[in-house]
Amino acid sequence: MTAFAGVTISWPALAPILVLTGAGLLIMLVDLVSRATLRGLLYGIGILGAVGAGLTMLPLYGHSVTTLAGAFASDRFSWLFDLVLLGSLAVTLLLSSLRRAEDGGSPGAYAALLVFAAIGGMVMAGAANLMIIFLGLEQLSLALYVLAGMGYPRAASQEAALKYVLLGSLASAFLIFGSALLYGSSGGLSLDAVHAAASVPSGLFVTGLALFVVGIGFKLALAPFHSWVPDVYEGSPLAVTAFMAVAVKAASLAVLARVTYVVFGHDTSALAPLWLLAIISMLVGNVGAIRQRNLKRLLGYSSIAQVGYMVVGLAGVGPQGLSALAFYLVAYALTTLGAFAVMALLADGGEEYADLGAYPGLAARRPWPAAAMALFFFSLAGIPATAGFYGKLLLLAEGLAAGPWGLALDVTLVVGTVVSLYVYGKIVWDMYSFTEPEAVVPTGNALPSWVAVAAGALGTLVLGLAPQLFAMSQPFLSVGPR
Amino acid sequence: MLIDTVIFLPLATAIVLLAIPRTAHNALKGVALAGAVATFALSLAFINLGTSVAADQNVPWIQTLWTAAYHVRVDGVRLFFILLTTLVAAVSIWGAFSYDQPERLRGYLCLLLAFETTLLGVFTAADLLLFYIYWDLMLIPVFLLLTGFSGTAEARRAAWSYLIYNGAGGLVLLLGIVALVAHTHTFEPAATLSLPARTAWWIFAAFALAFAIKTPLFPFHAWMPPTYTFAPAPVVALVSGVQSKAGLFGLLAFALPLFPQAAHAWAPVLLILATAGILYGALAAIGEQDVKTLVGFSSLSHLGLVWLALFAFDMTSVPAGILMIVSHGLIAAALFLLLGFIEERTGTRDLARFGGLAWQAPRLAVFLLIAAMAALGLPGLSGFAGEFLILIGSWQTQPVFTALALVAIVLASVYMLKLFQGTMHGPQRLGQAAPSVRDLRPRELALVAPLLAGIVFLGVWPAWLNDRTPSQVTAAAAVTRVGGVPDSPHAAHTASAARKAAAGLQMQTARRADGMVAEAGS
Amino acid sequence: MPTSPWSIIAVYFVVALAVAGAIAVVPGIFTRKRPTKQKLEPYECGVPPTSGLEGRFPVRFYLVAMLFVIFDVETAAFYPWAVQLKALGMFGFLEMVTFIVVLGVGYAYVWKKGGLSWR
Repeated sequence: MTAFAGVTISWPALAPILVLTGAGLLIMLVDLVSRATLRGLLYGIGILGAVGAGLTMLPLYGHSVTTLAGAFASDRFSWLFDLVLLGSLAVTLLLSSLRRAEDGGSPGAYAALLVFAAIGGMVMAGAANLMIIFLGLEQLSLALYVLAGMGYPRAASQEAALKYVLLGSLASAFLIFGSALLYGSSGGLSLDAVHAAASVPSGLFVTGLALFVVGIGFKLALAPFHSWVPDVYEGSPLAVTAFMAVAVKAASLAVLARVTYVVFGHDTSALAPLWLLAIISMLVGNVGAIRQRNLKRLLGYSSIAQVGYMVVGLAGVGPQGLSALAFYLVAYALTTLGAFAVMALLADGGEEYADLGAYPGLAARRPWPAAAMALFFFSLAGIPATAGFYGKLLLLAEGLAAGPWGLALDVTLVVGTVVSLYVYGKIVWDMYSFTEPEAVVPTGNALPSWVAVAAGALGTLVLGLAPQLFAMSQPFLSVGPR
Repeated sequence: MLIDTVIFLPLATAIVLLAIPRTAHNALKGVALAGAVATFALSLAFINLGTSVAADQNVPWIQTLWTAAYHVRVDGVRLFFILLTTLVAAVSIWGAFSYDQPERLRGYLCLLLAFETTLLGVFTAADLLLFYIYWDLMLIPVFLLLTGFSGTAEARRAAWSYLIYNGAGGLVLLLGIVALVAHTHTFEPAATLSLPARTAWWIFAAFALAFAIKTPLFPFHAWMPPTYTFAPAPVVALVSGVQSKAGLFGLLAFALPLFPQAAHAWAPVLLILATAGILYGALAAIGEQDVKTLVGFSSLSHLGLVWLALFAFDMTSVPAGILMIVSHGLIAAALFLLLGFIEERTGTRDLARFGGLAWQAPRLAVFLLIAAMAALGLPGLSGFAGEFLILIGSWQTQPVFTALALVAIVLASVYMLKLFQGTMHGPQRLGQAAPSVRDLRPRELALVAPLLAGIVFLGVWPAWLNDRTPSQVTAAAAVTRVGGVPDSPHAAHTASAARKAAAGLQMQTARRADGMVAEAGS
Repeated sequence: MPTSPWSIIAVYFVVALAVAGAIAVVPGIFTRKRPTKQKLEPYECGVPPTSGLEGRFPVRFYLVAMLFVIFDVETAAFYPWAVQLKALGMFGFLEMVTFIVVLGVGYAYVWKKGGLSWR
């Protein structure tokens, strides 16, 4: 604990971010001196950095610290989101290590940008101040704009980068303008100050909040702010898409949850527009996924719907709702990363298995990857004995406890899930229905992707069968001291 | 624990199969059948363990915002569902030996065994979360069996309607369960007297909808004809013979005891649907040319009768409903397996293309005759005992619906005789394609025989089953009728009196039936 | 008169709008219009505003411009720090050292990767 000009700094709370920053800088330096054959080393440093940051997080579990003059919180809530971010970083780096020279981009820049993006996400997860939120969001986004284009030999990747940067900056503009108006109406940048202004909302406050939610909605890809998702997910390199689908969602959800929780407390009546967005997202995401012929696009639409589900956890804002949201997020992260890992495994890091035409007959050719893929899809669809099922159970319970809007959310969740049974079942159907492959495609067997697949599958099953491991016996997620 | 062994032995057998090479067909068949038969043999031990609660195991599982337990139980109702499952599963797995894609036999047997475990899980679960988990897991093996192992495009399409209908039903059930747990904070089916009547009404509706889709109850049966028609015979035997009973089990074990008042409120609607289904199923079966679809519609009709029995809330009809459930399970499994044998031999299911098979395959003809006669309610076979007791019972409370249902019983003889005559009698129409149809092989004889033995046994001695039906079931019926409290002495008294009366009736029926059979024979 | 701090901004806003409006509207009232083709062009004199796509100039230009903006903005942060160095003390010094190290890594990276060479 250091005091500086009246501001106390808690080094342990910042340690994970600092460790990861060090790892990112190290990657850049090593990239300058190492040879091209040592690409694996760069990703290895990143993974070690993620593990090191995870280790520095261990002593923080269960503690609530607010540091940097209340601008940054390290509490159980941010702890869990940090864990998800570090996990997705590690898995993304594992999958990225399969990248070939002809995939484009410098491995050093690629790995370092991923690490810096994760740092941005961790800043967002702990941010308790409008300015810090924006800072983290920009760091995450800027790194991803570049990463989206890192597959530039494919034209789709260039398209993805351009679309992402244009719509992403638009979203940032909304967010910063909303933040400015919130600042203007409340006279402070900290969420506590915004909370104080929420009791007597002025027109300025409502406008600011609306713009802020629109900005976050863009980043979260809540419908109707989702139009960029399919193209960007399809065009970006496989591992980057995996990172987008998990880390960006996790960090943005952390911001949304913290803002709604701190600003509105238990009175969620003002958030009706958000519930409407969630309802639209569940329907648009699941229906949009039906006609996709590209698995990355399909998972993009699916992620729109999944975020809609997770917003249900906010409907009954409180420790239980946050707990449900967090459980579902972990389940979603495990299954989504797992699905991307299977794609990477089958094509040795290439993009061949993004095409759904490669899946018919997969079970006959590659029984274990097909079984893992089926497990992940069952989890996304909420079939019991998987993590996704218990997550849905928790979310449904939250919705039922949250009045008429909650009931509407629940019903939409059920309808959306029925539609998604078709979406995910279709791929399982393809994999198991045919004995002969319809298209001859390469099949890989690399160890890093096996590790990622196994981790995802194991996590999905363990959380599905023993959800109490998630330590929900206590009010698990407490957003730090107000 | 015996109960866990019974539930998980099929799954364990499936895992053992995975360790056996794909090509070792004889070893695969031997292990799979041994596992299934051992499961059946072990489940027989429940009969002697006592009638009220034969086995009960309760291990705390999740204790967070709500409590859930790994709670499995075998009691007088569950016993018969379990015996039906283990018997039909063993027979179906034996029937699957003639699977026409030998290189995929291992996966086929594994999925059938896994399906058996999920079915046993449903019928033993005494905790709503556990029940729901098994309930939804049933979808996966059936979906994969239909898509990956049936080999026809129609079956793959049928898999869709199966998955979407039953998945939707499952989610509605989940919503109902969550709504209940939001009040009670436990997945243990606890006393729900504090539940507001309006909430109970909605939750019961959710339960009933899910169960109606699974049974299926008219008009929620759209998934049924394609599934029953295009799935391989052993799969249909399990789906129609056992899985369709899961909905009825859910009513008996959870929905009716938990929400008696709501059940009473919903009864008129459900009775109308049940009666409509009884008539519609019979008429559709008469007009049907595909033999498997025909039997499918007859199932719709017969299981509608069970819904009528349960929602007549009569002290005779409710236990008779259980008899009918077991009876229909055996009959449907036998019919579908036999029709599967015919399809294997002739390559068709079209009634217009059959004829005169009895000359070439007399043993097949006899077996099909017994099963068809059981389905149309010939006295002395189990179908008659179930139908007769249901009609006697429900006549007391619902004479109008019962009278309408009676019409369908007459129609049953029309479509069953049409099925039998169309396939076995008349001129041979198969032509040069199948010059001679082989009679039943010893394996096929041996595997259908236990089902027919069960049909005859329950036909001549229905009281064996109903003596073991616990008083809770009849009490539930009585309570729902008088609107009282389950544990009141009045209800218990009524229940025991009802049970005696029911047992007496059955004895009479059985004797009368014996007489009629003897008369017919002379 | 309300004395909200926002009122000044409101006054500024109104004045700016009035001046801009006047410049746009007043000439239109007092002039006679004799349009010619030349007069109707967006710019009556100077470079034609549109042209073909054939003209090219190297993408390196953007790279250098961007690097300049990045390092320029970041070195701008040194000035206030240098003025207040004594007041900020040892912590402020170490903070800036960290900042310079991070910047230095980036600089080394750009240099080594050839971002500064005009090829």
